[in-house]
Amino acid sequence: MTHKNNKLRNKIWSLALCLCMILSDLPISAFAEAQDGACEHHPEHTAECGYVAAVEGSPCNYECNESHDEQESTESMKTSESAYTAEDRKNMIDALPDVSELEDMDNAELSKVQDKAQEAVNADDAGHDPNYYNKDSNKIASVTIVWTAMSFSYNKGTWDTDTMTWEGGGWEADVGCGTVKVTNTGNLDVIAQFGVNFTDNTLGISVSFTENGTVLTDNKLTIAKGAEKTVSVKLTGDEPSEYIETAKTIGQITITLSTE
Amino acid sequence: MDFLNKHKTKIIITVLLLIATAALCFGIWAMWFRAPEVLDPDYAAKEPDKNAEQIEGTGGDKLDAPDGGGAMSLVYSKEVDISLSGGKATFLVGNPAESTVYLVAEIVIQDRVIAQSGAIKPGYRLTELELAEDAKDILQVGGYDGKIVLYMYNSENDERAILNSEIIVTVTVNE
Repeated sequence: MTHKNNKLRNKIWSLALCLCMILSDLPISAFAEAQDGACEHHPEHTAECGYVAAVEGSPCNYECNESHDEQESTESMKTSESAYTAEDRKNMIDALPDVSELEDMDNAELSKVQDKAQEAVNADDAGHDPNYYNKDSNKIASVTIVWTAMSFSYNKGTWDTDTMTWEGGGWEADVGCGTVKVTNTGNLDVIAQFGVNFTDNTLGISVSFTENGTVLTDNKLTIAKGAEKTVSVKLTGDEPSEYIETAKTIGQITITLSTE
Repeated sequence: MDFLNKHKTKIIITVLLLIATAALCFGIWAMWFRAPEVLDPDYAAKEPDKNAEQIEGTGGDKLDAPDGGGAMSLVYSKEVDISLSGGKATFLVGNPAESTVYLVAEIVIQDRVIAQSGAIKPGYRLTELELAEDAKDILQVGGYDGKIVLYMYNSENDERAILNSEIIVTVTVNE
């Protein structure tokens, strides 16, 4: 009896493990979307979904949702909110049927074609206008950034004979180094925020940014249109414990640009 | 004999259990933890981006860049439109001919790189970029705060500049 029970238990275990193995591979295929748009709500492509078999480049636009109510809201959102590129517009216009094909269509099909034509027309308005990429557009900013070499050396300062120590030492930018000039050449005011991504800071250096000797608040600087600002990079830290034979890169400066 | 069979079954069950666990772990990794296929940001993409267009009406003198430094003239949009069905992002990053550096742009949303360009050479602009493979899975229709990260490389020696730039953008994701 025990032997039989064990055998049965082993069989159940084996089956359960087999199921586990199969199920573990299921999610990847289960979550993969049907490429052709077919699903339980939409078993085949028809004129209802806008599919026109004879016209090349007119794929089925149906997208399966949990309910058809949701599908309707998704489609209306697409019409009103999508920003189409020139290529999208061309594809939409190419997908419209020829005039000769319209004669064979009933009213429902003609209505669908009319909607699609209207969508293509609307796309011109919804997409970027011809001046979008113009520098004068209120969505386009323009700056010029010129930077010097970022080379710094530690200056020991002066030897104080009374205390027998170096006084007033610190990191200094080498001649002609350590500045970034930002010029706003566009029509929008620009905010530039300076920061440093340290890649190696074993020297324990901290960095600040100044304009005309004043440290920038939050490292931010507003540059009005047409204005030019020069920022100096200041390094603070103790004297290195050992002589640095070759220049060491400690990080990179990042300028984050935003508009008000 | 019975003992041997029992022992063998135990080994088989253990092995199957291990395989099932490994398959399950692989499934979980593939679903949630697989890294997106994007280039290492430090990589200098020397090949011009296939979508880069020449900027008309520019080609003047180069900006005066100090020794060891650089100069960049930059035109950019503060908005990025993403079409999930088209698998592309529409925006503007222009690198006028006056620049002494070329750019590699990345669109980043919530610390995830969703698109990366090839080189945008001086005199060229980029208005369209294909999305990374997993971008469709992590983005939903709606608005996001994002940024365009610009890596700069010296046009003459491909050396990476000491300066990077980031542009704060509003990202609108469409169907």
